[in-house]
Formats: sequence, C-alpha cells, structure tokens
Amino acid sequence: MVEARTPFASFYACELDPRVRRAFLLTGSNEVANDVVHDAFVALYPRYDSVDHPGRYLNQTVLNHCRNLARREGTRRRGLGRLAGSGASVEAEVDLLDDVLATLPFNQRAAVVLQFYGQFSHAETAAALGCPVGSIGPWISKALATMRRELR
Amino acid sequence: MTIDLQDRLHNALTQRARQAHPIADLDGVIAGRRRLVVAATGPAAQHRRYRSVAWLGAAAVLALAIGGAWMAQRDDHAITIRAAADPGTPRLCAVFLVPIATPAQAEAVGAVLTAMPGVSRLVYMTQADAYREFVALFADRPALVNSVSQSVLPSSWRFDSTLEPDQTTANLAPLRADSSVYETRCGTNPGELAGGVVDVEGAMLTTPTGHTGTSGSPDAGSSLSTGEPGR
Repeated sequence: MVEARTPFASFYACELDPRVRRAFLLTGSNEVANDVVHDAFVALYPRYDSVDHPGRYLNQTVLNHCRNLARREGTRRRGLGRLAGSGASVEAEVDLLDDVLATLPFNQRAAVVLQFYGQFSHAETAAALGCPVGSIGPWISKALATMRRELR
Repeated sequence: MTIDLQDRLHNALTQRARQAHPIADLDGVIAGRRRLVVAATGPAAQHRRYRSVAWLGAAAVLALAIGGAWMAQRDDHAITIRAAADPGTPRLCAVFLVPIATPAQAEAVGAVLTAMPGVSRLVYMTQADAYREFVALFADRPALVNSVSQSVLPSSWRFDSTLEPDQTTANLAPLRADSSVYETRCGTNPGELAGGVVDVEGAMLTTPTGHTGTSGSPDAGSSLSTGEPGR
C-alpha cells in the first residue's frame, strides 16, 4: 500500500462497508458497529496522509474500540437456549453459531471473525489485534475446540 | 456434523454480516464528529454524536474526582448549564443536573428546553448512561474509572443549539431563575468554557467551578426513560 494514496473520500467509500460488517459481527449491533467504525475514521482523517497504512490503522482502532466495549460488557454468556429448537433453517444455524461465538474471549472471537469472515491472514489479524503472530493460531484452535465442545 | 465447523463458521458469519447496515457519513467524519458515546446496548446507543458534550460531563467528573474539594459544597438541586460548539457545526449544549435530581425535576427542565427556540435533538441522558459514557471515554484509564461510581455522575439533557452562544445563554435564563440552577455557560468551543483544562485524547475539556456531587441516592434520575422530543 505504498503506492499513491487514494483520496480520503474514495478510501472511505471503499472501506466503510466491510469494516462496519466486521464490527457488526463483533459487537452484534448495527448502531454500535457504525459508531465504532466512524470514530475510527474520525481518528484517521487528520492523519490520513501521514500514516503508512491507513487500513491497518483503522483495523487497530476499530478492534480496540470493540475490545473495550467487550471488556465492559464482559463475555456474554447467553447460554445455548436456542440449541434445543435449532432445526435445519439457516437462521437457526446462524443464531446457534453466534451464540457459541459470543461465549468466547474477545481475542478468540475477533480472530475467528477476522479469519473466517474477513479472510485475514494471521499476520493481518495479529496486526489488528496488536498481538504476536504466534498467538493467532492457538487462539483460533482454542476457539474451534471450545465451539466443537459446545456444539456437541 | 457433516460440514466442517470452519465452513459452518464462514457461512454463518457471512450470513450474519448481511444483516449489517453500514451508514455512510463522510461529512461527519470530516467534521470530526465522534459518535461512540454510549455504545453499550439498546436505546442508550442513540446518544451517539454527543461525544463533545460527553467530554464536558466526563471532564466535570474527572475534575471533581481529582480536585477532591467537590464534596465540600452541596446543593441538592443545582443544575449546571454548559454549552459548547464545534466551529461550523450546530452548537452542542448540555444541561447537567445534580446526581440526585429526581425524574420530576429532570422532566421539568426538559419541558423548558423543549419549548426553547433553536433547540434540536434533545436527549435525556440518565446517570446510567452517563456512567457507560464515562467508562467508554476513559476505558484506557482504569484507575480513574474505578475511582468513580455511577452515583456521582450527573444526568443531563443534551441538545444542539442553532443559536449563538449568547442567545442560548439568554434563552436559558429562565432556568437560572429557578433556585435549582446556579451556573450558565456558553461558548464557541469547549476550551472557552474552561475554568480549568484537562487534555484527554487531545480534546480541551472544561473544569466546572462550582459543580456539586453526592454519593447519595444512586437511583436518582436513572429511572427516567430516554426520549428525544426535539427530533
């Protein structure tokens, strides 16, 4: 991303959508997701021309916001109430996985969302979460193991 | 389990992400409008866009917490009026009520504000809202957050004023006539209002001069539902 910088407006237009969707998956709220991402853009705007990787900067800011929110909420333990009623419908499947996902610690949840939805590499995920690359694999393994156990 | 969990996750997340509704607000970004005020859950999230004002409230508490002298004086029904404005945007104003203000008192103030010209987007923020906002604003300062409880945070009315600060001040005069009001300030930027200035995230914050707080009556005001009569 060292090539000529696209104007901020274009960058915003391209980047808003995927970022809000990822934030939505992490926060579970459209309103919060839009707020979190917009605050990150607000923070980015004055330094857009000076930061090396605006996309990475946004990722970090958004993830930090989400982490702070998650920390305040505590890990959601919504239980698996929907498990019993889960038939074959798509909605049930989505709700089910969402519920299980919600019980994971933030870093594991974020790593799972970024990898399986955002198609992030481990390096990108690590940069966004501000952690060593080596942490990502174990987090995802742990997350998947927990989810398998919960889903059994 | 016929499908691998990783595929299920990918499918479910993709499906879920379709329910997201990105809302573009490039003007807001360029104008520097912060939105993450009360991002917790539910209706409280409607208080976004009021972060500038939130700074004032949080700053009040910050100053109070640090100052230590704020417990000395106490006026149970005092209301602080502060207003701030970002250049080029509607002026953000807030009427802070004392922490133990009753819902009835808050409603009375809200009624006055609703009738006031130039007031839009009037929102009531409970102590619980204020606390969530405070925690969010100072999430990176756990020591500060831990030192403040919800009961000392003021509930408040937040609104935009399209009028000049002087005019807003004049319009708020009726509230000042009430014995419950002891201070009115308006300005074109938060720094202008400052009795003292605290820097948080690069923002200029005001320090109240005579704001009062109390640890009594933790539920005061927090049961009042939010409403936006100005919208």
